[in-house]
Amino acid sequence: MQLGLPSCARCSKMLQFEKVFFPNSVRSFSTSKAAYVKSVWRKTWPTFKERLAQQNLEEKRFPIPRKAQDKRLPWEYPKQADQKATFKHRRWYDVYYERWVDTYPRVKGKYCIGYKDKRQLLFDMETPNELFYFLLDRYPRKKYIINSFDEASPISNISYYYQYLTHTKYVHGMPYQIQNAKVDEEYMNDLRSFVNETLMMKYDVNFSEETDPLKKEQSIKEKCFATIMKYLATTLSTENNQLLDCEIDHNAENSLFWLNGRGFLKWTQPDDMAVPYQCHDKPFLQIRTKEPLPEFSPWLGEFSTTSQIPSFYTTPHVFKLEHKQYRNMISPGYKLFGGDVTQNYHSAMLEEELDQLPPPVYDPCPHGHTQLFLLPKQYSREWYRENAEHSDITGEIDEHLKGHGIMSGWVWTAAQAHYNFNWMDNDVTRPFCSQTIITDGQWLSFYCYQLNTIAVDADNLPNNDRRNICYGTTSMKLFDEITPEGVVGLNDNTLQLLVKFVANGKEQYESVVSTAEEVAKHDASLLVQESDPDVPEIELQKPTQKVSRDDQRRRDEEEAKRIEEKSKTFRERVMGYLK
Amino acid sequence: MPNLQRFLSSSPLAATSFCSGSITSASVFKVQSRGVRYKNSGGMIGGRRKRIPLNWRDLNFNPARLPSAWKPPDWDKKQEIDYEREKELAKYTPGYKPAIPSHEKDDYHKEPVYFINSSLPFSEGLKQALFVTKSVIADSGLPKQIHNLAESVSYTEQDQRAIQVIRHAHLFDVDPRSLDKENKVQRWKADNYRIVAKPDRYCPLIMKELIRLCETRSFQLSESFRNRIVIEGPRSIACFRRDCSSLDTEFLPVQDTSWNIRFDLCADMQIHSKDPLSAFADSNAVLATKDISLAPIYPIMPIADLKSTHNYDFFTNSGFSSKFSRPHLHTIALFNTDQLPPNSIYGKMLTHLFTLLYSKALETYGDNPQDLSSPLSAQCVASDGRVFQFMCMQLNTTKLNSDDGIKNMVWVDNEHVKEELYQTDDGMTSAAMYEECGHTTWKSPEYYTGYNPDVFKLFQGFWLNGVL
Repeated sequence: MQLGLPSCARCSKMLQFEKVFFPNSVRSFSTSKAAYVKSVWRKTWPTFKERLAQQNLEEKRFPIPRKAQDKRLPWEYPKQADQKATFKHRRWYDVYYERWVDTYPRVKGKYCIGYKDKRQLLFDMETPNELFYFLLDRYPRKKYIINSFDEASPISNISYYYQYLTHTKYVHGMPYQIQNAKVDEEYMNDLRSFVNETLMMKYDVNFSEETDPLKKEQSIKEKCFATIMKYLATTLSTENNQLLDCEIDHNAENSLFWLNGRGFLKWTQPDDMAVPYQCHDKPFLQIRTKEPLPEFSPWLGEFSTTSQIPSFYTTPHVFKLEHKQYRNMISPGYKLFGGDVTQNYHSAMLEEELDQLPPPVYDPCPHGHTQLFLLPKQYSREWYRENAEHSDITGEIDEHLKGHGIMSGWVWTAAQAHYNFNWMDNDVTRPFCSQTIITDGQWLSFYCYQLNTIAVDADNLPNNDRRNICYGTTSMKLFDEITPEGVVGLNDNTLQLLVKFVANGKEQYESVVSTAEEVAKHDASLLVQESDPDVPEIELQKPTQKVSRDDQRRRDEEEAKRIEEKSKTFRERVMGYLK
Repeated sequence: MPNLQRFLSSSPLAATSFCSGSITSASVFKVQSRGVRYKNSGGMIGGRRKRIPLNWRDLNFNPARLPSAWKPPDWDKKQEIDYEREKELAKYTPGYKPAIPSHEKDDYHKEPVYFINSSLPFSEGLKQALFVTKSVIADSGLPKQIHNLAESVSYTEQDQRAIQVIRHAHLFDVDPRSLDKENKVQRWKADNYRIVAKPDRYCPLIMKELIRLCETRSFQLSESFRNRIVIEGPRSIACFRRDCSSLDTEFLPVQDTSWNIRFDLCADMQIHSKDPLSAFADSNAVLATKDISLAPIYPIMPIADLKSTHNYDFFTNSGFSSKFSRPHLHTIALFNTDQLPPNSIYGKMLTHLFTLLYSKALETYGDNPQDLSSPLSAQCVASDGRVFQFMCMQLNTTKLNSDDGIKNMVWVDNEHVKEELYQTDDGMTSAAMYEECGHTTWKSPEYYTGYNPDVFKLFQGFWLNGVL
């Protein structure tokens, strides 16, 4: 059957005849030079039945397409529940029209991701793949790009801002199960010597020739920390059984797209549009396991529903964040499924094995355990001191690290929740926990993130009591210095925390935690970072490290003044009073 | 036209080089398939024939890419460096680094060195490497103790875990390079073609994860796990003088048969331990190598296709200081990300093994060439993520100034290595761990086909050699 003839297949105005021009050879019979072309009217369709089939598909008038529909395989056109395939295929082949048709549900009415009532369609989705098509690919607008770590960022008190973006409660200290876990002393001795020898590779091993000193140092850090993390994952597999089957990603990229708050986006649009954000996160190494981590704080406890989250009243254009449009992405470092790509359908059709097509396969280790970040090679704590570029901003060191911990934990866990077929309207029903370690080679920061909610957009947030929790300990020194003679001042507390993080799992949780009350009591004793209700502006907040630094500075100034007073002569003192 | 005539008269060779030069005029253009589109091309009726490219950016003006006859007449003259002027510039410009002629540099040697590094391997592969390192293939296949060990170490879940590693690398790993952040790639292409894993991504991942599986196994089996350490990317250098006395130079263009050779290599991963690996062959077998002569490689020269230079430092360095707590090499792992054929990758493995063992031998026994009282042995694994190559080496001697006497010994996992290497031209074969794995492998519901359990068994036995 011919397609592509005079009009559209479903068009009611069908040409019954078409004009056919004869080829040039016929033209030569004409006497004059003027263009005279012989033509004839021909029927467009050889039979009446075929012409009927091109018109609207009504059952009574057009029985032939109906027959074609009946010929389809059960998975192509399901009628009864028992006729469906075990999984939903992405496309089916229309035998009659000889073309592939996607099985995405059609949009009825207005669809818009920014309003809750206009995205009810998302509840009709059957697979995460379909969900992502509507949640991500149908939103072709500009979005704000968030960097989880950017030392040159103009935002002061960035951890408060990231708390607002992710609806997270930041807690100083470690959760109960990490705080009270016990580490074997023999194991620690072995680990200490191993870490010593690994760090000494800087002097003992001649690594590849690299002219850039920053790059060279970074590559040595990468090698040392990869070795240490793999050693931990290997040796702790006896205590934590799920490390036997774990998977490790190297140089992965986690990304998340989410909506938060309302604001002005574009002149031609209303000024209360949902504001979109996109973050790409690059962990150096991450461990994924078959079973999820146990919760850090009780899912139904009071701790995950109470706290003042800082707020922010304009869109992030004030920070000059990157604002651009490209494909929206959500991924926790691995693909949603393997196989089931469109070219398989075509090759299966050519071999007449459409019914043999296998369903997609899923990763056996979907749950995040621990991720390790290396700060960029140009990062230095010295840079924050007073210099030609800026004044003393050493108070921002911990702010940047805390912000990095909050954002990385949010991106990874929320992406896992999306892969688990949750979205902002279909909130999570269990906590998603993961651990983050951030290092620049010498200083380590530890974070435990518990995702309690992903309904953080403007429509859901007023009715949402739940808060995400981020426990954090910043700036712990691993060692004082590496000299050619040996490592000076290896910190035992840091190493113990490293071991506790990797050993965390069901066994450790059961051995430490007996009742939920203990955990709640421990949580209540921890210091929570909250904004000042009288002065809610983010840039005016005083995080703990800034308070202590200011106190210290004031004390120093007073001390200096007192010494100066003492050194003055009586005459100078009197003259000072008189002034 | 007069300009061209002058040029032709000044250099009579230019015309011949234009005809015989390998660079044709077509390669002048950047885009080969499309070529340069010309305005008013072909015969225009009533118009002058103009040959003006529509887009001047399509033309590559780099004179190095131009045919030699098209080169500007002063091109070669301009390329010459005026060293005296350089000296003057250095005198008056602070921080200026003058170009120095090679014979005036500090590291200039009268005799050239023929060198090999990671980007310039032996072009003839294993055959050439065997001759240069004075090695012979000791036996067909690997030593029996490795096969026995592989049997004893294996456990039931190992295949399942190896398959999980393969599927992780081919199906689930996200390559950050494939994520399009500039809106340049169409959606259907990103969803269907950009998901295919690239070799430089999946090969290191598979090797690292398989090594981690083996390390976990070794931790379960014995305490000696703590004596080992896996190191990524150490660099080692071996320099030696090779005298090929058995080479018949009658029909060769070069009469000299002794050369300075330098290996400068970076292994991708290697494992070191506190205790040395036990020898693969006993002293009788070592003595028996006196009677075996090196396999001739005529008409290939041992230094065929090697680059040479006069500026070099002639020293040997194993890459590890004497303080290092795990001084003994156990196994090297190479990532064959360029998907080289087995023959050349075997050659690469042998050069890596020789470099590390030779430099270690010089450190322990001194610089004098000698037959080692206790031979050094090590192993090497290479893979492109699918096909695995295994090699064992035992360094018996550092006397490379003659082809006689004791030779070094090499074992390769291929059973018919001698026949494939010297009697046929088809190239060598190696065992593949699986036939195919990917998103389009829909014929099997697990999305991989032809898994071969023997390969990972051997890999594990290889890696755990000396643990029990």
